Amino acid sequence: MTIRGWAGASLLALACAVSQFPAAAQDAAQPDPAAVKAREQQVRQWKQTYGEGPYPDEIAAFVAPRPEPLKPYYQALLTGGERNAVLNLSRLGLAAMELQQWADAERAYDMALLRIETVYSKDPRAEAARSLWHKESNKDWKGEAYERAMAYYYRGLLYLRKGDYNNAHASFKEAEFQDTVSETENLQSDFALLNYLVGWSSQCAGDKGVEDIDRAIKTQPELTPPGPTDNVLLIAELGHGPIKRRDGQQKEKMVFGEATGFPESGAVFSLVPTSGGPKAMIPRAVPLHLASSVYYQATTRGGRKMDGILNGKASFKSTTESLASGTTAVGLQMMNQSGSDPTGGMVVALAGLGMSLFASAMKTDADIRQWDSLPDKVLISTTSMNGPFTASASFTAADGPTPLTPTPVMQGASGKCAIVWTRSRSALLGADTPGDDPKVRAAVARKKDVVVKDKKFRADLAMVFGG
Amino acid sequence: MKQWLVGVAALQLVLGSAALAQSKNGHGAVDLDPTARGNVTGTGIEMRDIIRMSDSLVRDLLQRPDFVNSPKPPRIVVDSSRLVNKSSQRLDTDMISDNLRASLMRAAAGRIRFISREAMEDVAQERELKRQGQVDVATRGMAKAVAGLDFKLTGRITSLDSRNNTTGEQQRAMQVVFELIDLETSESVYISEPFIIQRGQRDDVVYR
Repeated sequence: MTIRGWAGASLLALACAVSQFPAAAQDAAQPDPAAVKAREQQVRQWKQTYGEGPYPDEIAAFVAPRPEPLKPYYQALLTGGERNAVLNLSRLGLAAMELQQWADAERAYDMALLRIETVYSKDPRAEAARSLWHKESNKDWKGEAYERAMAYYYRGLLYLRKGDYNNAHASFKEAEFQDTVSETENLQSDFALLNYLVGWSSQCAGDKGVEDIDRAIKTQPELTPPGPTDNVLLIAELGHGPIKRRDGQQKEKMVFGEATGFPESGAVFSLVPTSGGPKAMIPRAVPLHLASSVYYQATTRGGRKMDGILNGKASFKSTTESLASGTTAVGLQMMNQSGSDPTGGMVVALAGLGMSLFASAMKTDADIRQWDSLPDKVLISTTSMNGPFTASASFTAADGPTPLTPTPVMQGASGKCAIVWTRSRSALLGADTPGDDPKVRAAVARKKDVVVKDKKFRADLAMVFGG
Repeated sequence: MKQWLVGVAALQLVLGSAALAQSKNGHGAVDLDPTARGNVTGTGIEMRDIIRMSDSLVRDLLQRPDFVNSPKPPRIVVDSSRLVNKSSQRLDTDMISDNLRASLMRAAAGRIRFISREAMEDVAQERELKRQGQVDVATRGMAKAVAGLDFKLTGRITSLDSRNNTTGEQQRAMQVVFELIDLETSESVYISEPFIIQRGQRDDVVYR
């Protein structure tokens, strides 16, 4: 039989199969044409407002199955597209950890880390961020070194909760590597928290991890090495992390401000044995030691390569502005002095005006989108418990105990080691992407390449999170 | 001549537009060769590395007469319990150990006996039910004890990450070494040639 013959036979077989298919099943497979038409009409209307989407019914369907407090975060994630994906995923992940929605948190950080690890080469948005005519915030956000490191840190904590010490180790090690993006050699590998956690996860995996713990203690002498029988890691996060803002004549500098109004500086965990555990276990209070300050990490990184580009843009803009005002002034003076024929002066003044317009079209603003729910100080300690227990935290300030209610405590003991984690301040700070420029967001979302990328992103979200 | 040039220019324009459209459009799932470089690559271990690693280990082990030609086939356990990932890449070590076990078991064709310790709980439960008489002895009869082990395949994955902050170049070297341990004497009877991959990448300057 020829190929054409096979094709004919196949088509015939298919036609027979379709004809034998129950009518009800065919009805179920084919959507109601009236409904399809109505949706198409609705989409045509929505396109004027929402462009290529996501449209309100898609947002509602995606958000509906999520836990109530996380719904705004999921909405921000879906509508923010690929450009804000890492930031929205990181904020969602931390909010989910606070709400003890572990699966949501794990998926969010897995997606965020995949994007942090993505190498951007010849990316149109990255090229736009470098160009004189676009703001830096055109680029997809991957965060500064400390923000990337903290995304790996939280993924590592989630692995520790599950008892997956190898992947926890890998996460902390990669977090520490992110922190090596430092211009100053002597400030590299100074994130004691991460070194300590690399060592701890090694110890839990049955290895020693002594070198990493020693490195942490060398940076932060307040820390103490875990005892040989220690099997509980205690972590408390205090305050809020650095605040990005713009500085410089042309707003070309990104600088960090310290979040104020957070008096807490210490934390103590109370561990109380639960019934059914060994009788020898007694309640204990464990004070924690400062491991790292996220603000310190943000401010000791040194300059970014992007700062050089923004400085160049700002310098060119300032020079053009000076030239423009000078030329305009000369033109106006010529017009005043020319008497009956001001044409020459007008031409010069118009040239100055043109230069001024040219300068104002240059975009020098630094990108200040930021992960605002990060803590500042991270305190840590280890202890030993040989049975089930419940943990609660209290915080202290310089002048004594402070009446702060900790966020719900994450307590996990799936393997050899247990982890207890809490925060003094909530990570639920609202779903809006902090520091984003709505005009840039709207303009970028209309670009053809972004429309395609965002459609794929939404398909990825549906696959990873369902819905 | 002029018409010919216009024709070439028009063709170039059409081809260029087609290429652009192709790069902007998505595409459905396509089959990729797992032994070749994938569409998306990074600096870590990839599927092709796992397959190469597994292939090399199988060839190595099956060429050792002291191991495969013994009168009684040696008993070995190949699982991820001692495949330690000390690298900075998050990965599921089961993927490596499963691939290794499957390749080795198929290639050994009975010259090596594979023992599972992962199913120990299920084995103990079934043995208990048989001995209590709650279930019959099935078709293979009962054994005095579960099979003991001669060897265990262990492994370690390590990495060395480096970065040039001037150029933004990042580099990761990963090393995987397997070792066969005699579980009676603790002797290391075999060590694989270190499997090393080293890859570099450079992100756009706006991310440095």
